[in-house]
Amino acid sequence: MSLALRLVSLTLIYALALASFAPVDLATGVVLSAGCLAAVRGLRGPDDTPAGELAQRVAFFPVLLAAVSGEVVRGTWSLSLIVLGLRPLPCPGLVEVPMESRSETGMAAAAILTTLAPGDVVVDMDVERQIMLLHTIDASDPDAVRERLRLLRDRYGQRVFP
Amino acid sequence: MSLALPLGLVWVGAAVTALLDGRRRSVAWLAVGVLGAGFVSLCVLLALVLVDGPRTIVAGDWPAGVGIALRADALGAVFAVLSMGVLLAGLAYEVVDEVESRKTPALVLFMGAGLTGVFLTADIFNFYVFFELTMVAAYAASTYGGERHQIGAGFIFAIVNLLGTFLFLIGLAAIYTVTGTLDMDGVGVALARTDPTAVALIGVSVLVAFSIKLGLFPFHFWLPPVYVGATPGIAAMLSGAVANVGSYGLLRFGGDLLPDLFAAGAGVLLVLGTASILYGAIQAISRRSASEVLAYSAIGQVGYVLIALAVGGPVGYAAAILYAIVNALNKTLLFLTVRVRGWLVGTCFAIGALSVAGVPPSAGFFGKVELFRAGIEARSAVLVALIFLGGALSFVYMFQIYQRDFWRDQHEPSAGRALRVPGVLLALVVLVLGLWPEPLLAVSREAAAALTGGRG
Repeated sequence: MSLALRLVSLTLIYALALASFAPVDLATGVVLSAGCLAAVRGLRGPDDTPAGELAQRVAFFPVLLAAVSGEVVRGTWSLSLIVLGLRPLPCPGLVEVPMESRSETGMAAAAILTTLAPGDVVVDMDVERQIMLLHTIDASDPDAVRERLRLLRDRYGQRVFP
Repeated sequence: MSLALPLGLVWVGAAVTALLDGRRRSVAWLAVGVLGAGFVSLCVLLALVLVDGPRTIVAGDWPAGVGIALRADALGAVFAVLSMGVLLAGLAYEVVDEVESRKTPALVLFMGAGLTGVFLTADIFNFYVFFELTMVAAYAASTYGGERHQIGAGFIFAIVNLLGTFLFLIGLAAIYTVTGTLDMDGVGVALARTDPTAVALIGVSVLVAFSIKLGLFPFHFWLPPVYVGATPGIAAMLSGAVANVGSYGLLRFGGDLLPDLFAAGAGVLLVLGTASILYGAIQAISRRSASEVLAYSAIGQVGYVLIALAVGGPVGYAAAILYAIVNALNKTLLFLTVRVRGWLVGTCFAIGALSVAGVPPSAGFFGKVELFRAGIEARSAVLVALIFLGGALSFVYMFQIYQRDFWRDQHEPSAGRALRVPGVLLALVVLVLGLWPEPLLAVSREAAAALTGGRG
């Protein structure tokens, strides 16, 4: 996490604890946060994320949230039709989804976000093989499932959780 | 009777039991006995509160605002009785099934002490302290069994809930900053005169913190692995007792300390509650394992509490309290019967299933009736339709389990008959409250009247 983000996060916590975003409180928060960061600088981990990239990831988060919400609505609708008997139960089963070039955090985030949509449940994550084992309500066409998740990942997921 | 008696009894019992080996039957039954004594003393306290009104004590006779204050009003007392009863049933089940960990009985007693403190404290910081005591014991208890998936689920439970606790602590710090007091009555009065922006920031922190504890959509993702991985007794305690902290917290902070903010944010509560009901129900229908269905059902059922809170006023708060009570009883009954077999347990499970769906003659019917009343009070046809739809969906998923597990895969119980006793007793409670609902309705209305926003 970059120094700037740490400073902003700590200042935000300070402002929330005061329930005030008055300029004087924010300025005090910045000073106190900078002091805390200076005091614990020896405990800081490596700054492996450039500030610009981090800002991009944070800025893209609402888009990811909207995409996941869309998936939840799609999954809920599709499952509702099956539950109400308006659509036949397809072929539930397991699908292996490759997670190429994703960090462990990225894979964990992908697992949580994928499971949020009704109809899809992540059964296991093979970190070494970079494979997500997914149980899905319609596994009749595994390539279509992989393609759907790949689009979600490439367009949205990877931009926030690489 | 001293207000401190139930709290002290269970806390001392927890400390003593922690020094002993909980795997020994005598120690495990001692813990059940302590919980039983705590339950009886809380029942007496509830009766006294209902007859004579709220009771308050300040530890050590310190002046008000300095010493640790305990206060029992109808709302706190009813949640304390409910939670202690659930812990008693859950621990009795685990003891009959044989306790495998030396720490489990002590952890359950610490949960009992923490919950009693949460429901009987008159001070928001002590609320946090007791809340933490409950949660730390719950984190450890959720790993009971020691299997890899149970430890993993316990880890997720701890991390996500610590995030909620952190938010709650920030909210408390903000409350103290703007009001200068930690006493609940003083906080309520001071917040009514505070800048609305500051109150909104506090309200959001508190709402998100308790939503995480309750497992409301979209803060629910920790809940299914924990409930599915836990043993039936522990799952019953987590869903029927520990989750009450979330319902009580929303009622106490939303209905008592921040009623104007919750009234202004009713739309947000309605959206969250509706999403929780539909999402939980659809997910539950799509699952095949009974524990998974119950876990997702828990997400859906708390949505009703939020909807009733959104309606607010005497009718809305009474409906929220009644539904929270009935939901805790239902979940406890279902978790305690879902892995036992036999016609008697099957009947008990069916009573629980009917109660979740809101079908008479079960307590759940009156839970739904009160929700309908709240929907009509809000003059919202959509709300009434949603409650009906949610009930219909829950009927479908509950009877899917019944059909799969009790009709098709019927076999003899693996353990002795004693394992059925907690479930049978709870089913009787659900049935009796369905046939004679007046006490439940009176208690929930009395508890709603204890809230600033519930006095109409």
